[in-house]
Amino acid sequence: MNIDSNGNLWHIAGGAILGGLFGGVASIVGQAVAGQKINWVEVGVSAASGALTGAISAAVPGMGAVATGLVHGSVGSATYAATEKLAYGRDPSLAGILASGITSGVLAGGAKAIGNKIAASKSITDFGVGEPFIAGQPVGTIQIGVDPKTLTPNGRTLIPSRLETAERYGKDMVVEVFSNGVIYDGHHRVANAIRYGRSVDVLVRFK
Amino acid sequence: MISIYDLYDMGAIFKLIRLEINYEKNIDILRQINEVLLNQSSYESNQIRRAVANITNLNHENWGFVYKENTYVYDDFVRNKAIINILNKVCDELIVTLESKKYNIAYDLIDTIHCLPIIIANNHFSIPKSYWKSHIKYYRKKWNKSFLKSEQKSIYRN
Repeated sequence: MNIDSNGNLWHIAGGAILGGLFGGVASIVGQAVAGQKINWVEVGVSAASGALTGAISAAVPGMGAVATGLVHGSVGSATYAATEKLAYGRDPSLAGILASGITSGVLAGGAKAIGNKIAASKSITDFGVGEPFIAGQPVGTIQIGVDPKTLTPNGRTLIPSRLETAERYGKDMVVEVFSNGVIYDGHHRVANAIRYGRSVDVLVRFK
Repeated sequence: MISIYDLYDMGAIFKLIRLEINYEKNIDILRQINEVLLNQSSYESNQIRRAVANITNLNHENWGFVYKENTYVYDDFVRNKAIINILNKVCDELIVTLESKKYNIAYDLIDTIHCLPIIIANNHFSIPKSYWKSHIKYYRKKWNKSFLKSEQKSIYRN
């Protein structure tokens, strides 16, 4: 068996569990507040829907607002249809499917857009991340937890499409620098670290 | 046959080529890599760095690592010939571009593929589909629409 030998899927499983719990509890609370008898099939559908969106959000953390809206909108429509059919034995209406999808999509996409805006507008001091890079260290030195804003880009153009890949595959990789703090490799990772308010680990590769 | 450590070495080499794109030895270095890639019948530890170390008068300050051999106690190999073919084609394209002294194109190309060996190594010897969108698409749009098109198809055929 070699299901997840590198432990790469735990965050997805965690997202699914948390999403499922949230979806299930929200359904129970919603029904209770509405004065209804708890319909456990509806709770199950909501939990499954929450697990799905939780897993997707955990798997693709860098997803943009539009993509988030589309994913949550689609899941919202499917959840409505499944609830109508499975929990209440009714045929879902087209208007209901559209309304659920649009409401879920706009709310989730909007929340994501606002979240991204807040993260991007915060300065490093807001997050209090990292120590300044110490210049002049010998080749081979590793400095853990460096404020990414104290590193110097070497004028390379950032390519937007690469930011997401760098976030997905290179988030935890060290940034390689010259001893004066000019970045040798890892520009996109540093840009992501600044955007999301994280420190980076730095390896002095050259003098 | 190449191992996971050869992929890491290739990643380091590609980054060094990007650092100094008009370095006179870049073409020789890429030819040496291609020779190792094309030899699928045998394997020896440190074969990529050893092949590069055979080049005379390399700049030791940057290329010092190729003269140091590591002892590995575990190896894992790239068995997918389509992956080897892609790495080989990438080196070929770089050689042709450098030979024609089109350094701006060569820079974009090496910048596009410098992380490819590491991505392959860290992805169980496969190339995630997102890589083509995030990296190769940009190069195709700017310089060569057909770059690695058929190779991309062949890799997901099996």
